[in-house]
Amino acid sequence: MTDARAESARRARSNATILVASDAQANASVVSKLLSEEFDGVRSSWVPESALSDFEACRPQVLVLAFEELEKAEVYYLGLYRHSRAIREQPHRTIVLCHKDDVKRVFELCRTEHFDDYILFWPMSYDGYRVPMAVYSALRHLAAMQSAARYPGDVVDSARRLGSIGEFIDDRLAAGAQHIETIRAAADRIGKGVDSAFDQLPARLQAGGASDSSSVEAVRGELGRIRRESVGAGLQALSDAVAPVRRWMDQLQADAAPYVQAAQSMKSVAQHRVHRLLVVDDDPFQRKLLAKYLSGEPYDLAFAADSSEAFALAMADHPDLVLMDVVLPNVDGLEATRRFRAHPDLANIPVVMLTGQSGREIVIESRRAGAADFLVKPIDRSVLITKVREVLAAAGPTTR
Amino acid sequence: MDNDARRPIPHSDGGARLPTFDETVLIDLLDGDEQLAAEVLRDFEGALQHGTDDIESALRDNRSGDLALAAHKLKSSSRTVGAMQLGELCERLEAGARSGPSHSMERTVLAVMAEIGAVSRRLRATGK
Repeated sequence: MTDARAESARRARSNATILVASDAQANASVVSKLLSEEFDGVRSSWVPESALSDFEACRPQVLVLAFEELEKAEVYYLGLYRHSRAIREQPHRTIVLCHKDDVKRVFELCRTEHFDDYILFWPMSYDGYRVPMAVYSALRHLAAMQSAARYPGDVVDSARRLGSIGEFIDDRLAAGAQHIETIRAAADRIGKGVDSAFDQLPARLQAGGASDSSSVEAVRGELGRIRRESVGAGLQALSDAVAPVRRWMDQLQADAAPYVQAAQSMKSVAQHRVHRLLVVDDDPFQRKLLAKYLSGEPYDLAFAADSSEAFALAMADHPDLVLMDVVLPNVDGLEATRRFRAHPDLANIPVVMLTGQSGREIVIESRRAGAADFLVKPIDRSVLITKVREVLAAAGPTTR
Repeated sequence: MDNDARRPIPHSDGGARLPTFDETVLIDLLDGDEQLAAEVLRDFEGALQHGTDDIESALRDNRSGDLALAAHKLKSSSRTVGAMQLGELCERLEAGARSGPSHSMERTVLAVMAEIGAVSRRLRATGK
């Protein structure tokens, strides 16, 4: 757990974007300097005309409002909400630096969630670490929200949209069927028209008084008439009947675009989802070793020293895979695996046993306990990485 | 489920002595990553100290279960870094602790402590 927290803090320091907003350059600089000692991504904004563009360009995760007057902080933030598109799209936390005279008012604003936090700062502060600590807390809150959001808003929206795709398809297919029927009817009329024209050909030739010498010309003339009036007109009618089908297809492509976009959005979320692994081993050396082995892989790691801690972490975080040492204090890894299998919320999580034994007996026992696979200690890094990938791929997305 | 097919862990036949420290074992496990190997060996020094403390504590308090667990942990970490003889001795200590006290276990404990010293000296000598 300590290794994971240290890594989380390191990421916060290097990856977080913090915007210090003020109406005075001096104030913005003081606060920025405080934060720059701890974080790499600190930006400041103090020119009123640039407030909107500064926020849009920066898209901060934490917005520190360093206005000496609370009212100006409120006006600034309200202005962003009125004019900025990014303010609604960018998850962020706000921290207000206030004067002691404004404490009651800013408390009320935070209590009603207009802002997220406040610090007594003006005219001077004796606690130089308070502001960076508040930023750390804000970043942890954001990380927890993102981690807890199993079904973020865009996925829910996409899922809802895709849920009505069946009706959409039925509706469009019905329209398509009508167009096809129109074409079929037009083709049918062409056929009947041509048949009728040829049926009438002998009578028309006779009525025209065709003699032997002029009969070829007469037939040629009649065929030309049939071609123009029956076949040609019929083909034109067929062409006219196909045109709506083309328009229908173009319209279908346009109408389907939101569904296609929703499907692509969900696919993108699935592809970028980071798998969570739980390592259960009572040996700190082994936990550190596995953390080092997996440090280059796209996984979030959690660690437990015994089966009780493993159970609690698994219930809270629902990992995608558990690496379980066989020899654990109190309840051993095989029994812990059986208990995982027996619990409805944890049964789908694949468990890979970590054992110092390679004999047939441990393989059989592991299988009986419900383990998906096992690894023999000392563990080879590339074997571990391959095994984890294979088990995750075989398991697919885990659900509760 | 498929077996993790790798080279077997060398075991002593009871008489032959395994290497105190085989540097190639850890390097092989890490696909030649020497920098990571150096980090792991630094962690192992800590594990060696903790293992010693846990074994001594368990012996002092006559806790055979904890002695077996301590020996088990040190066995795994030793074999990971290539301290093969120490791994072998810890396996014997673990088995002895699980089966109950005996005269031979006293000899095993002494051998483990001596080997821990030998491994520590080798690590210091190689600058890790």
